[in-house]
Amino acid sequence: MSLVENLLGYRNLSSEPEIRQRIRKSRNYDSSKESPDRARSLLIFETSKQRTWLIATGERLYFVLDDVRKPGPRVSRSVCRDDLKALPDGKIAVTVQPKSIHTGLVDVGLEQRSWLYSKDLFSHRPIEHAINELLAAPNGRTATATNGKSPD
Amino acid sequence: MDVGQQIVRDAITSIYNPALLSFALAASFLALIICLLDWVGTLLFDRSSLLGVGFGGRRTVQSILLWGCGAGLGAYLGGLVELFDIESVNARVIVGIGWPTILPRLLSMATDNVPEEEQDEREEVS
Repeated sequence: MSLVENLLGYRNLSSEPEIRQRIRKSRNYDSSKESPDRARSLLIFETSKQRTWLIATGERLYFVLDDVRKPGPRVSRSVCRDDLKALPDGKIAVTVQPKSIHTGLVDVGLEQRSWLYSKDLFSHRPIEHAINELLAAPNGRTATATNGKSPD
Repeated sequence: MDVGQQIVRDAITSIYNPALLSFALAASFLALIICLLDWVGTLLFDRSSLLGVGFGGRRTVQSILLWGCGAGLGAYLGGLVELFDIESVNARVIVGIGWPTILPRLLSMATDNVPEEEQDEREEVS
């Protein structure tokens, strides 16, 4: 963290377990059906001030934005798995479009709400595959940031 | 020897300038008040900080104090290189509010950094 960021009172980015626990704060979280401890996570966007995580539980897909200028990470959106549009082959529709050299826009389940993603995080495999693996995987113990880059 | 003493004397005079220190302290104090009002605004209107400061829990005290320190430092350095008119009240207010805007941009220019793209915040719906 730079001197200016320290002077501005910015906090550090949260760890992956903290991000998963954050879904409890979502107004759509159902503790009888979901558990952050059993959720899976995928880091899709990263800058010095922000990270965007996808957190998948058995019921929902959560989009969590971690911004060091805010008091804590926030669930920006959550979608019921049943509402995610699936393709004929059973995979979730994930559409991607380029935005800049470092970033692109991703739309999960034909929601018409695009999210920024960092191309660097998906240099080894496409983000479409990573998201489909996140959603297809059994809802077991966390498999952190399956894009191959350590979040911390 | 005389030259050396003169250099040291000049350096001390430049650094320890009561008018400059007064300017920096005033800018720092104004910045503290501005940051405090911004924090009160976040509580009253349930909005994020207009100054872009991170508030919340213990960080609130830390942020407000550091904001004041940053303004004081910026005012002192700016005054030292005569970037600001240290007699001006307006300059104190401008430094108190604007130092975090000016400083990162100057640093960014110096390091030739490209501004990062940002994900906009969205409100979760039921």
